[in-house]
Amino acid sequence: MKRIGSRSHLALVLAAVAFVGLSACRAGVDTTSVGGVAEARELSEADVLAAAKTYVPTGRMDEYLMFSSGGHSGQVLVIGIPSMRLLKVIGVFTPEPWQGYGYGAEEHKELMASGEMSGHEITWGDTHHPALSETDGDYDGQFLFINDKANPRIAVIDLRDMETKQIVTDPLMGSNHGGAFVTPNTEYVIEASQYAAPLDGSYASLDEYKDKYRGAVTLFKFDRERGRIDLDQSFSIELPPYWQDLSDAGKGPSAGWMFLNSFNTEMATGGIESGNPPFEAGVSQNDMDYLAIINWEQAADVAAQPGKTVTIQGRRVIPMATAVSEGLLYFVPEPKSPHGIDVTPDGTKMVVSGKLDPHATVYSWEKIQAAIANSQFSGEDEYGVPILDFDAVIEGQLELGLGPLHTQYAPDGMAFTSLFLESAVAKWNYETLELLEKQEVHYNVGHIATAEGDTKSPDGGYLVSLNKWAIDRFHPVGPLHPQNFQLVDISGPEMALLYDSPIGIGEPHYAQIIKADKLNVWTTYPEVGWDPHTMAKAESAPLAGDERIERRGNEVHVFMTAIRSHFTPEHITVNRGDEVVLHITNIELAQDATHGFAIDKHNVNLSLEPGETQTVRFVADRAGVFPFYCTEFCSALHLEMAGYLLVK
Amino acid sequence: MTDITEFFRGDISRASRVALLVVALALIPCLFLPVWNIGLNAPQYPQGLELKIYSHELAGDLQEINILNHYIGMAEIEPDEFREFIFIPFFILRFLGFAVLAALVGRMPIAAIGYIDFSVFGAVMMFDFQTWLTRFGQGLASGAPLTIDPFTPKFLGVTSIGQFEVTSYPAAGGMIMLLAGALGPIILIYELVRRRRAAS
Repeated sequence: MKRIGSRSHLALVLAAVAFVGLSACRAGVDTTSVGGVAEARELSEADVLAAAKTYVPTGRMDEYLMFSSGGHSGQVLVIGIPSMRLLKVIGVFTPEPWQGYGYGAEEHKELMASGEMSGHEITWGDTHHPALSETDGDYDGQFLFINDKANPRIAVIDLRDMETKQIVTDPLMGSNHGGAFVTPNTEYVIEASQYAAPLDGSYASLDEYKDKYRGAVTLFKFDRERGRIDLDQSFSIELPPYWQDLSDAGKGPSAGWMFLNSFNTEMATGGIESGNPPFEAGVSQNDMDYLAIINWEQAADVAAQPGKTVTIQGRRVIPMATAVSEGLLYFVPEPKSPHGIDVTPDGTKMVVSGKLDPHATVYSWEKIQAAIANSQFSGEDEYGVPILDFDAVIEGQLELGLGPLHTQYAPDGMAFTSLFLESAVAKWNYETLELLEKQEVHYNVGHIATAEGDTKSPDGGYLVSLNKWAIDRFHPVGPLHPQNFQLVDISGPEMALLYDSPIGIGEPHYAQIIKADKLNVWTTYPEVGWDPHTMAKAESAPLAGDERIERRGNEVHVFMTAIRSHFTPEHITVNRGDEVVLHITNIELAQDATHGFAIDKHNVNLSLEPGETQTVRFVADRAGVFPFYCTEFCSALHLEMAGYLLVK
Repeated sequence: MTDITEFFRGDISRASRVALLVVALALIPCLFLPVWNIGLNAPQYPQGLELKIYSHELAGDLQEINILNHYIGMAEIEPDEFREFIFIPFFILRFLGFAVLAALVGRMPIAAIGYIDFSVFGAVMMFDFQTWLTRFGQGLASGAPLTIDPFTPKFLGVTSIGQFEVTSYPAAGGMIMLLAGALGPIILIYELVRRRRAAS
């Protein structure tokens, strides 16, 4: 088949399509030509053009990588753009057997244990918002953070091996939503609560909602050197019991500040069964909710001063009153039921879209600063937080359509906002406040992602619409429909829908798209005996020639290596009741020479990637013969890569 | 006859001395550059595999090649087994020494002895290399997972083994040495012609 490579080729193809279209009734279908195939498959000119824009020929690679939340799969998806090919499902909050994540390795058990909530094992997460690490307001391709809304947690993924390295919990929150997002140099990974609850985790009646329930925002200090969140350096700020939503960090002139939406400023407590207005109505009464404006840089200074924080559940918290008196926290009214708060690439404007208001509201950072400096307040809320005068700080409002949710950027002042109710994406100019165009999407778009669209230098080119409903877009696979990721070409003067990509794993919320060449991904581990958890060579890792079995009292330590196509040793004989500790190193150096290690009937499956070492510890509580084998088809003698665990 | 003896006793021209100096300098990188390459190509190795033979060591995808070889019962390629690596660099230094000396002193006997030494060494080393190849290819252990007929990999050229195409050819260092070797006869002829002209 001819490849549609150059412009002239494309013109030829299109001419061929037109020609075939005209002569269709007299000629037989020629499936050896692009035009013939287009006719046979009933592809329009636009379809062929879209195919040429998205098709990545065999052996070639995508221009961008998209890191998407995996929704309630608890995982992160890695997808190539423009092909929309799924490259990896990174195990984050949920065990993932292919990567051996949560299936026996001690290193993963520790990681999963760190994500326990009040001693309860949690094996899923509702991942919402991935955040790529940034340097000077631009993606640096080093780390990815993602939140779990259901069980307030943040995970740290190292992009060198695209594996989860850390899970930290936020015991203060009942649930979280306002993150993850990072400050311009990834000093902090920030997360805000959603549904208010008592911060100390205690019981309080809903009648005490205003007094006992609270929101919070947590600034997790990121230690880039160690690739870990440092909880000792992290702190939270107490907020009123509104329901916080999305958030973003300032950059450029607004660096050092952050912006956080809230809804339910009514402080409705629901109770439809008792004749109260249900939450959906109760939280939507006010025409205006509050956008929180927080000076995080100064908050970090305040948190470091003695006596300025209280300790709740082992975490440092700046009380609301202190946040107000120190000038860390301000509110400004925003149209009801807000979702996105998105700082423009140059950091001079903040765009808010409220689901129940058809406008994009554009705030001016200059005016916000002036209003703060001049104490230009229209009042304060019930908790004493000063409220800036709405009219004094807005740049303007632009009617976009119904249900605006979330905004992303492209060069030259271009902004794209999802319209949930209209199932469309609006393209507009945030400098001139002009609505330029709308593109239908299918259906019920939530977040959108443009290439590097929340950085100081967005790329434009591609937009992905993360649609909640697919309805009739894919072959039915039962009542549970896939989500629909739609790729939109935003490089030209008019948007063009290119491709529908079904996501059959969860309901992803947000995604970020990074230029592939910014990543520096390892294809094998740097040294044989590498422990991906510590990101260093493990002292205890067995290497070639070290293989042995050592009995230490009741413990049997097996130092094992794996290489095509055998484990050494192949026989492990223990007594019932012994504690078996397997230290296994894949001593391969070749790219893709991954070995699995599964022990039958023991719920153990490891993924030992070239150079990787892992440890498995279990009590041999059943006598019997248990084959173990390599679960990766590593070589022609893969089936033969096996051994026996013999429990006497 | 006396002509020849006379010739070999004689001095060398300035041009030839410069050429010998160039040979000496060119031999220096041979201590650091790979001398010979064995490349393996197969569908699942899009980048190919490479065994780089230096004057003092083996490098490249040694582990991967050993893994592949073990399937057919080929002995493991152990760099420590090759005693050649101990003395080859000294031989190169010796030729370098001869070339420098011949260039400085400008005497034909030194150049001639150096060249003969170099040629004999080159021939012996090529023979040695082929002997190793034969030993590895013919000495396949019984009981290996895959049974194939013993074979003799080509010392120069392409050998097909299973899905692999094995290509053996001189690398940068080897090319320099071959060129240096070719320069010997050129200098010799040049000197002969020059003498004839001077005599007539």
